[in-house]
Amino acid sequence: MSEATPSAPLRRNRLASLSFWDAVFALCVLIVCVLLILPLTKVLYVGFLDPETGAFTLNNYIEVLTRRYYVGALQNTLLVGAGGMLGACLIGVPLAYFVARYHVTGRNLISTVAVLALVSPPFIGAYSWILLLGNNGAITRAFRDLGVHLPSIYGTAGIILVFSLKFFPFVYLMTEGALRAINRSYEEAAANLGCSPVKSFFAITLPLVFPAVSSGAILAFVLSIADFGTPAIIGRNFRTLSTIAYNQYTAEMGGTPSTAVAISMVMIAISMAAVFLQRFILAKRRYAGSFTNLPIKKPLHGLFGAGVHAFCYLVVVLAAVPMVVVFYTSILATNGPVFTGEFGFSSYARVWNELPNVVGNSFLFATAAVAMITLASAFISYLVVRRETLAASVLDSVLMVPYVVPGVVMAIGFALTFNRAPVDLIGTAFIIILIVFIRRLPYGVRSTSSILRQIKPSIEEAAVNLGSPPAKAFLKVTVPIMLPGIIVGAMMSFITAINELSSTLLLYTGSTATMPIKIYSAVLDGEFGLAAALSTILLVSSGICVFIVFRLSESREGAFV
Amino acid sequence: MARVKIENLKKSYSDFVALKNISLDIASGAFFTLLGPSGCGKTTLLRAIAGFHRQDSGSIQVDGESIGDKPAHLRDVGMVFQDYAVFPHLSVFDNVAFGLRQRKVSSAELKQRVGEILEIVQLAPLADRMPHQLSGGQQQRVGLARALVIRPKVLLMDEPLSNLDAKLRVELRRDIRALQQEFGITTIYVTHDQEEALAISDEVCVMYGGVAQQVASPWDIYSRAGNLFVASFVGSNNRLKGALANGRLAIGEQASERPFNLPDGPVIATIRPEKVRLGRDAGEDAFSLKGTVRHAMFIGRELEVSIATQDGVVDALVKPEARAVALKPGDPIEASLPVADLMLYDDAENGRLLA
Ligand SMILES: Nc1ncnc2c1ncn2[C@@H]1O[C@H](COP(=O)(O)OP(=O)(O)OP(=O)(O)O)[C@@H](O)[C@H]1O
Ligand SMILES: [Mg+2]
Repeated sequence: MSEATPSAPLRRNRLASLSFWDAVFALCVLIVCVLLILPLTKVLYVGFLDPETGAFTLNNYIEVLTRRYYVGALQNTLLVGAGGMLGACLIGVPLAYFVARYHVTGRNLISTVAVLALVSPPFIGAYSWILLLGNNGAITRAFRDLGVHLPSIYGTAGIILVFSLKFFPFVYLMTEGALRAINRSYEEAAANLGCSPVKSFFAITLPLVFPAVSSGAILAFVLSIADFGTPAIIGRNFRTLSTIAYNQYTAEMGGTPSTAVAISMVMIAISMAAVFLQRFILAKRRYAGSFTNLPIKKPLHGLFGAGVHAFCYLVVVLAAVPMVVVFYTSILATNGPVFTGEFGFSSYARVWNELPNVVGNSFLFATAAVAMITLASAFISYLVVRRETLAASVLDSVLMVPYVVPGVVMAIGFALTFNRAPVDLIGTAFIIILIVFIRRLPYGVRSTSSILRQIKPSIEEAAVNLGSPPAKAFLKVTVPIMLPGIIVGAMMSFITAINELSSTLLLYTGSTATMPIKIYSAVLDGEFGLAAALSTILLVSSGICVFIVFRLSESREGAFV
Repeated sequence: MARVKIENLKKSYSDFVALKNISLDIASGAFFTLLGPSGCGKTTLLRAIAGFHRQDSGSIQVDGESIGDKPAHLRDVGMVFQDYAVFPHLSVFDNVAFGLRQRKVSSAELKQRVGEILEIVQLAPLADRMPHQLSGGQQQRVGLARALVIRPKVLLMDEPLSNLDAKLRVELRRDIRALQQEFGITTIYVTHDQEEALAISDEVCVMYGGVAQQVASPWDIYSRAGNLFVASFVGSNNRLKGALANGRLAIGEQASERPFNLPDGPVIATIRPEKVRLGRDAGEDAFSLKGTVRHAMFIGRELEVSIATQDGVVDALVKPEARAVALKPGDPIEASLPVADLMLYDDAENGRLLA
């Protein structure tokens, strides 16, 4: 081919596209480096420093891995992680099976409650159960009046209960989706070969949905071990890695937080080990779902039907308890921290009078973070999906990191990195927004990528072919098609952003407090009315987002996992 | 070996009746094929026999024992699925062993039986493979082995070959037929491929609209189609309006020489294209229809000539001789329809064959 071909304009176009997307790519890499890699490297680095002398040492790790105080916390963390995961599976898997395979009355209610439980503020479960089953809880008192002493809710049992009820929706939603996509023929073939329904569930169905169950379970595990609010509130003297990392950090405040950092690294290691274990297991089992010949739901009759419904509704009630308790408590009249025993809106009045800036902060920070997440995810997903270069796929993998880095750890990294000129962000609103941004960016990227994968590249190529520059083609053609998905992704990010606690708790100052932080301190101060009012506001905001997601996304609950 | 008897089987999906009063009597060891267009109820019937859904009424008997109310896993009727349904998480060996394990067969016997059947379906070297490492044809063999190894009384197959390419289909259907005869197992086979049905069956049941239209041997189905639906569904057929008057068949202005022992009235006459001849044969009792060539297509072994006559379009399938190959659209031509090859049917929506 000669050089002077009539395709010169086309070539110029391609060059333009190269430079535009390369600039975008460079920017994305910069963001990821500064906000993710740098803080985490800092965390890693500080873990090897002697807090006194600043010399290189392995002592921090040795101490964390040998001293009883830390080892105990590590064991506790693994215990509640495994317990929460197991509980989530024991609730989620049967629920998913019943809802996917039988005509359960009120299926929509079940999935709505599951989603609401998923998006409700992280620790309201803990303190709602304290309000019910704590030393002075409503149910405890009722039973005490009858002469029955209930076992204590504080400690391991309470934490596992709260985690199970908080994280079962992941297992439920993922498993239900998988169960509905299994080709009906497998179970029929099993029956045809003489396998009873119960046996066929364990021999065929469960192995086939195992990838989905394990994804949900691992998510429950990782979130359980990273959770800070629940053990802090309901744990009493029960220490987990995230609570001691937080305590250690606040104790080491001012000095070098070497021990807190060493603990953090252990947490990251556990999460990563869990994720890799799951990937390893899944590598060998990938079964394509089927889009035809899907299972048919069976009607429920008799005793079995009654049992199934009883189980489903019990789960719904237990999952809804925190929300109901929070709302109920929020409309009890108070006098200072004391409930007067009547209904009233004094808690909301206090929020309005004393904490308007806290509510304002929450919405402002969440909105800002979501705007950034949305914009960044649109571009990053484009890079990852459309330009399948090695660099883009590395970027995609690096973005998996925030999934396994607990909020407390990320916050320590930020505090270590952005603490002096030229980028001294400590105490600013900016650092809060940035940390929420980087922690939730992967979720945004994932949801936008999945939509983008469904849009054929030819649509955009057609626009370019008709003379539109690539950037414009992307904005004018692809983005509008992606819009519903982008809004769904934004709503989901908003929910997680406005409920963020574990990372912001380390970074806030008086003027940048948010609702979750205020709820946390109110609970510790025994200001349950105030906490309830704030939680209700969070819950309602999250609920509105859920409603929008339900309206806009095709697979409703599917959008949340 | 088992005789399958189905009586007055009815099955509806909410308000849509998928099976209307199906009665079949299938001889022990027979290869029995359900043939019909998409949506006629073949799968519905098969699934009722397998026990995957319950019939509204009617009975299903195997060897005199009524199985219509048994749960699917106790029925002992093997099934080969259209989409293979080879369990994706089990190896070939474990797939085939699955049914034997449910029957608590001792491990020594299990090994031996699975080994034998894998040998027969030529999968022995692949016993340790996982399903995703198999081709479609191999997966279907696993499905077949898995169903056969439990030695069911009846074997059901729902379009087992429809997802395979044409060549493999022909190969596998031979294998299936050979295995079926070797095992002597009563087999109910579903297909909408008529060539397949005619090629491997002892008996064919043509279904349409949830009704068994005709049950007969492949040759009878083809040469003596029981009604107009079967006549036009199985193979191609020409249809002409005619009438019986004074014991003779009349088409257009011509009348047959041969007498018919049938009451007078309008009839539909059908004739297979391969029986139609071009030109006039003197002395034979045949209808001779003048017309013009619509098109002539050489399709390999034969030449397909479509002729527009006053009495309708007549298609002929003739040997590709030089004279015939030279035909062009618009050429005048005469089609000759031997009376002996005509089948007569009631002039009705789905008219019955008149004796
Ligand atoms: N679950 C169902 N609910 C309602 N109608 C159904 C259902 N399954 C099948 N039908 C209807 O029953 C009729 C018979 O279906 P069936 O699957 O038996 O057809 P088929 O003869 O096997 O067709 P094909 O050759 O396409 O497999 C069809 O008209 C179909 O639309
Ligand atoms: Mg079918």
